[in-house]
Amino acid sequence: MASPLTMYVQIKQDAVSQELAEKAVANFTQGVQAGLDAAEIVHYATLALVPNPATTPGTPASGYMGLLLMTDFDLAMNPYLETFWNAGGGIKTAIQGIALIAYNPVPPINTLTDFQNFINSVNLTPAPTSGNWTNFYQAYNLTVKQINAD
Amino acid sequence: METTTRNAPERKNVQGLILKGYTHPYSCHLLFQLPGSTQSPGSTPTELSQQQTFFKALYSHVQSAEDWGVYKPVSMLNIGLTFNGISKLDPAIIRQQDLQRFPVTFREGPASGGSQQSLGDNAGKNNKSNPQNWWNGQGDAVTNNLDCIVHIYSLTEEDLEILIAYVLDAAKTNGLTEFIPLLPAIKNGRLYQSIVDKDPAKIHFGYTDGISEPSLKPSEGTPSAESNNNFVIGYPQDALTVPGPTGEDTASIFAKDGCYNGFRVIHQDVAAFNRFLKNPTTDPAVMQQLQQLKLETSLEEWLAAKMCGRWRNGSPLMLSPDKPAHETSHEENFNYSVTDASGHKDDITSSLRCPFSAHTRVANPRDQQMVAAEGTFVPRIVRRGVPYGPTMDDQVVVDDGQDRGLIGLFLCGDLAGQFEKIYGWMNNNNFSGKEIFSVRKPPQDALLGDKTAANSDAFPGTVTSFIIPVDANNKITIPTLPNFLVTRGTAYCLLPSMETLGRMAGV
Ligand code: HEM
Repeated sequence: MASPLTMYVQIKQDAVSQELAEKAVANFTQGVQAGLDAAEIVHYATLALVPNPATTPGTPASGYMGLLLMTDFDLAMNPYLETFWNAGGGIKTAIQGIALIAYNPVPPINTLTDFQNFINSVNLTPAPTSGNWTNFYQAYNLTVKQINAD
Repeated sequence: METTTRNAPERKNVQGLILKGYTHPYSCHLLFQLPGSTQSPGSTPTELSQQQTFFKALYSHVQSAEDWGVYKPVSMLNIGLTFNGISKLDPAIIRQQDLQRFPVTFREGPASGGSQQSLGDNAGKNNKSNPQNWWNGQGDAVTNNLDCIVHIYSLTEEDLEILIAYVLDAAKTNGLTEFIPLLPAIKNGRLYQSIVDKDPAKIHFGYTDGISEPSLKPSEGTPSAESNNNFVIGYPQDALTVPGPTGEDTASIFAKDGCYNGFRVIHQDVAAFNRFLKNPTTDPAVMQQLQQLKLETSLEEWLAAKMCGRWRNGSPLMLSPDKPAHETSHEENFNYSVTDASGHKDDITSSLRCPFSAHTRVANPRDQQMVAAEGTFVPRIVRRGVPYGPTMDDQVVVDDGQDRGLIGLFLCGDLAGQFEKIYGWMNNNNFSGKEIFSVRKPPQDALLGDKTAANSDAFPGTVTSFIIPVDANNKITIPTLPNFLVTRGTAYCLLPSMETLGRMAGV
């Protein structure tokens, strides 16, 4: 079972927030590597800066409008968000950091419930109520473990 | 409103069902829609007053978890509310803007895509358990509008009927709509508890139920998945599964001392189960293997025990591997692993007694080793279910068209982390390493796995075979298990505290 998570968070425009967003992206892999390796359920995870629109067509844009986290992990979303919450270290800190610079106020993420609620509120690819995702392609439906199995 | 910080819930403020396993032999579980609206500007003053009058009428019958002494109440009730129901309440009790503080799993409900990832009712082709078929084919019309479940318990049939009539009258007078969850021709389609085999401890398929439960002791400073802090909302100290929401907002205050209920009505096809036990495979080689076993019981009883992990009298296979024993029939103190002097943990050998995919071993793998993604502890769940529908003899192999099964009440502090996580495991045995489950072709819980959902996108590779190790070198593989169960409906409710119910009732 795959859980695609496409988390878009609009960020504040002040210099400190913009710098924090750049840092979050620069340090992302390093911060989450150990936790994600250990969990053995994440196919990939990428964090990107979404540029501001250009004010005039053809001119370079400055600054970033938001952060986009795209990932795909095995197993059901809500029970296994707990895995990331409890994994400690980088993942929790990365999400808490993103929440701090969010343009729309985010209630403090102190508990697992807060964490689940925040992720679900910004996920652009929630599980469809019936059938499969209509906006999610998979070349295979195997889990990371199945792919790595001897 | 409670302002002092306590480390454990006060029993008198918690609904009885949560901390006590009632043994009342009669019960009925009524489903209602409240008057009012979830949409802005919310319920009208008249609707709010109708809601309050209804809850006020019921309030004095609500049983708390306080000790009732030597005399059991003759009849009593407990109340659960769905997120939809809570969203219709008076904003003076819970503010609209705080509703989003409830966990997403509770808010979106069991038919949502997120929950179905674990429950699997909509997975596979033409799944009879599909939420569209729930509630006798009413599907979303009930699931999306169900606000309140009233659980009524009684010592006698007569007293049960008196309290049901009282609740129905209060509902009618105050503008509630009753939903009829089953076929209306039988017992008015209501969820009445039945007594299977003249024994209140039995459920369909002939098993004894209600044995293994978390201790629900107050936390004693040691983190544990069993203490009541994992179930009752508001006491995160020492809980491993942390119930929510917690905080100073009105949703957290509303939820405090409450507990969630994964209410799930499951049809049991007893004739299919009986047929399977008598004729578990069409493969002659496997049948021969089974017949050559030197058993101390009949093959049917042995298979039934291997699928559950307990003999039908309740004896766990881990303690009574060869035949049921009276002395062990209520035993819950056992494990699946042995650690030798060099610290090596062996949880494989125990499968000679209890197969890895036996229902009780999947639903509570105890000390069995888990893969990293599962975290460091096994979540627990409180079961308060009762059977419904008439007994079917274990010799009957043709269905009689009667509905029967389990009115399941699965109580937890975190629907995703307890109820749904365990459900996911039952549908896909992938929570332990490859020495235990095949990674490429994981099995399912022999009793509970939804066989239609096997090898769907939701559970890739999952197989419906059942492996029974018989000695150090041999195992018997039943090639295909049939489906024994169909989900008739599911609702996620909050069983609020007595204090919250009091506020809803205006008392
Ligand atoms: C019709 C459906 C079901 C049947 C026939 C059934 C049957 C049983 C039986 C016979 C037992 C052993 C008695 C005991 O330990 O009290 C048991 C235990 C248990 N069941 Fe089920 N069950 C059903 C549904 C479920 C569901 C839906 C869940 C989870 C959501 C579940 C979770 C458990 C757990 C946690 C235990 C205790 C295991 C232990 O602690 O050793 N059951 N069940």
